[in-house]
Amino acid sequence: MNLSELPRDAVLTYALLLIGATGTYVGVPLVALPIIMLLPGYALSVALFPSKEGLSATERLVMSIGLNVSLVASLAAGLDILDLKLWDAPLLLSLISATALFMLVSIVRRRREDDPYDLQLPEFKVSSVRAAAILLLIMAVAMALSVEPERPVEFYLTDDNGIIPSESWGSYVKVVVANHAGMGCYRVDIESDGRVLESYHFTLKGESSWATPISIGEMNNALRLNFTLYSDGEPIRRLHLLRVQERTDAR
Amino acid sequence: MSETFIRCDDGKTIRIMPTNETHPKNAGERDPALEILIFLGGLFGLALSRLNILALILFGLCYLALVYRTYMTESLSGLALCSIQSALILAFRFKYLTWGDPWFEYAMVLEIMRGGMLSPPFYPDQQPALHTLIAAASTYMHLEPMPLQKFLIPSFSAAGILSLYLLARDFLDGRTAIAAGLLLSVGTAYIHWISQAVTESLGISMALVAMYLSYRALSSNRYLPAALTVMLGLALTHHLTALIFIVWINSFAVAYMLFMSKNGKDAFRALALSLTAFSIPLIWWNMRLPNIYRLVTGTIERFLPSAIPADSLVVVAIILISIYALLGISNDLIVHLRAHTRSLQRLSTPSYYGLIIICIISAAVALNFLLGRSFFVLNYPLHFYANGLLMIVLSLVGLRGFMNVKGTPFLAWAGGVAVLFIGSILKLYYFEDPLRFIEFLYPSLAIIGAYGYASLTRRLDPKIGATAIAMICLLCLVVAFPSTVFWGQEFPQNDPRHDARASVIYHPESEIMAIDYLREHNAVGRLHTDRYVGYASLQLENITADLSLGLLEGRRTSGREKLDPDSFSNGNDIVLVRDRMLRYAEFDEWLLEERRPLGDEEIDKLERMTSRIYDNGEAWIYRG
Repeated sequence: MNLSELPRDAVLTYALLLIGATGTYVGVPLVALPIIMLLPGYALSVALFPSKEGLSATERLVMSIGLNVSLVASLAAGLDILDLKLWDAPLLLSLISATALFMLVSIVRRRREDDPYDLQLPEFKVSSVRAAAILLLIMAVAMALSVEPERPVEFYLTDDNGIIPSESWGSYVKVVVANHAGMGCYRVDIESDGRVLESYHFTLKGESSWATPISIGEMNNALRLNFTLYSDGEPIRRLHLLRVQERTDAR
Repeated sequence: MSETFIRCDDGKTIRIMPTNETHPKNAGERDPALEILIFLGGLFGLALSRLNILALILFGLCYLALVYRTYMTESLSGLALCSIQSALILAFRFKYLTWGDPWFEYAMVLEIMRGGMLSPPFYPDQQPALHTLIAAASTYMHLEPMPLQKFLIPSFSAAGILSLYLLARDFLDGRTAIAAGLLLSVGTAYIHWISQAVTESLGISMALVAMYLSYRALSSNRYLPAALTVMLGLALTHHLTALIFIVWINSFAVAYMLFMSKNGKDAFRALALSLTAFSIPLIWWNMRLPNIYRLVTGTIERFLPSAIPADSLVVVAIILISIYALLGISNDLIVHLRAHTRSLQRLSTPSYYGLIIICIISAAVALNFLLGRSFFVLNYPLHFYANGLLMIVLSLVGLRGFMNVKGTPFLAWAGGVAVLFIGSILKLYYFEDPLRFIEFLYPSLAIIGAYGYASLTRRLDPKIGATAIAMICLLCLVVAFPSTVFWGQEFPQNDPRHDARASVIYHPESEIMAIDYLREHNAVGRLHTDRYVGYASLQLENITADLSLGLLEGRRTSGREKLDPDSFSNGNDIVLVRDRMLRYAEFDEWLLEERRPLGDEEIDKLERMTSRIYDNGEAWIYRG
């Protein structure tokens, strides 16, 4: 059989399998999309229906999608039953093998058909103006989706290793203010029993943060430390830290 | 409908293509490029609405234009785009996944990506179709899984809607079949699930594809392998959908054999479909979902006479084999009898009014339940019922056209699920909450309702019909979602647009930031919070939320009680409170008890007895 006698969709399928597999291992985003979302189901639909007769383009599309979901799920379940891990190679290899095999079956079956099926893209005349408008709109949608919503200022504590404080505080806690947009003049007051122990003034701009370690040891007498964040003189965030004894007493 | 045609396929002959596929009536007017432009315009409006809610006007205009054109030109690409656009509303309106269930699916995707296996210890859900698809796509395409889940899964709705179109197209004209697809794509119960990116979203589309292929397979061996393969996928997609599909296929197939089939061999194909739809899910559940397996077999045993000594599943299989074998063997007799049923057509008018009475009584029972006057506590706003009432009215009008032999498979299809739904409301059995049965009623109702719509608009100018259906579709979309989606705000309780769900449909940036704080700072321990924040926190690796114990281990834990510092232990307790919980909080009430917000005493106790370690103005984290 001459390569030129191969059905167009078979050539396209094998080419997409090769590109998708290569792209996956090289790390190119998106190129494996057809292997996961369409090709296995499409190849099986052509193997089952090698003739033009009896199956409209819409039916073939719907069938391909349904078969594809079934194949991906059942291959994954099968691999798991065989106690094989899905990543990195087994699932991809099995999808590629299944697609290649179904397409091979379809080629053989189509050779026996009087009126074999082959992929025919719908006639789709698009003026350059419309094509440009479609591209522009796709970009506009992507841009609109990528706009980040406004994020509020965060005020939090971590322990001296940067992880969230546990009940048994270490000797230090870190007070952090994370600014996410604009410029803000902030003040952090640390107080206990109505008495301000420390006060810090600073300015943050854009995506930036301020942090300072607080020595718990130096505040031995304080059973409850209150941390208040002020922006332009107004209190906006509040934290507090209870010492273990204080919590036990409260309970 | 009596003037319309049905393809007579004896399994050997060439299928006659529907006229609009071989000779499109309005091919000259079709313009896929314009449809894509309008579609993208609508998506742009939705995406932009995250910044300014007024951009939804652009979406509304584009959606109206797309539906209008689709109906006028009977365009299948237009129908697919309409269904995708309506299914993607939540994905484009909100940055993160919505509601609660999609977060559970997301957590399962992450589990599979981390573990690389589907074994139950780390992948408890065991409905792998959606999770494997997204995990594979994310791994091999080198993209984040959340956007893939958000955008790809609802897009599968196009396959389901096109399947419904193809099924309807064999019985009705092209424009009515398009109307059926459009009506389903905006059905409140349908859109609720399809737009969420959950296993059910994929399940309902797979079920519709399986239904169409099964219908074809009833009269042709060629479709049988494809239909059976899709059923296999359906069993791995969603347990409730697979269960309902057993009712779908059997009610449709039995009616088909009784009223339409001309060949006894059809019964054996129907039997193959029926047994596959019944056995594959049960085999999978027996292997991997024992709870579901026990629930189903237990329910079957309850309905079978206890005197029968055999295994309940074997009994059901024998019943199915007997029914279809009897239908196959007596096919000649059935065909002979059918020739005499024309005289029964005289009874169609009294039967029609009888069915209307049954429908009104059933609708009253259902409405009583939906208004929360039954055993569920439901507080939906009145406009939420608009789509349901519209479907009932259109279906009652369309019912007349189905009171003939060709219409019976559709009536049986709708009737099978309706009986399940009513039985569930009457607590005859329990699978899931009864509300979940409603979406499975919609496909058959959409076909019957579309015929009703066509009957009502038959004498009108098609442009008026197209305008009306465009308006209906847009209105149905607006009322299907809580007010935050299309109004961009929550309304107070005395406002008719008030809907408590408006505050839980989306997860704001501040909530995700608090969860990110726990992840980025390696939080370990037990998280106590309400149901919806609990769902979003399922993605955290070293944190066990109260909700996950309920979801994954079946342990009933009251998150509200766990919030009390008196119940803390080991110093590993973390509490996440959102400002929303002061207005609306949901723990283990589910649909059985009234929800109530967090009270001042509960917050005071947390303030007194725990350390507040995180504050972003809208979300706080306490450590106890």
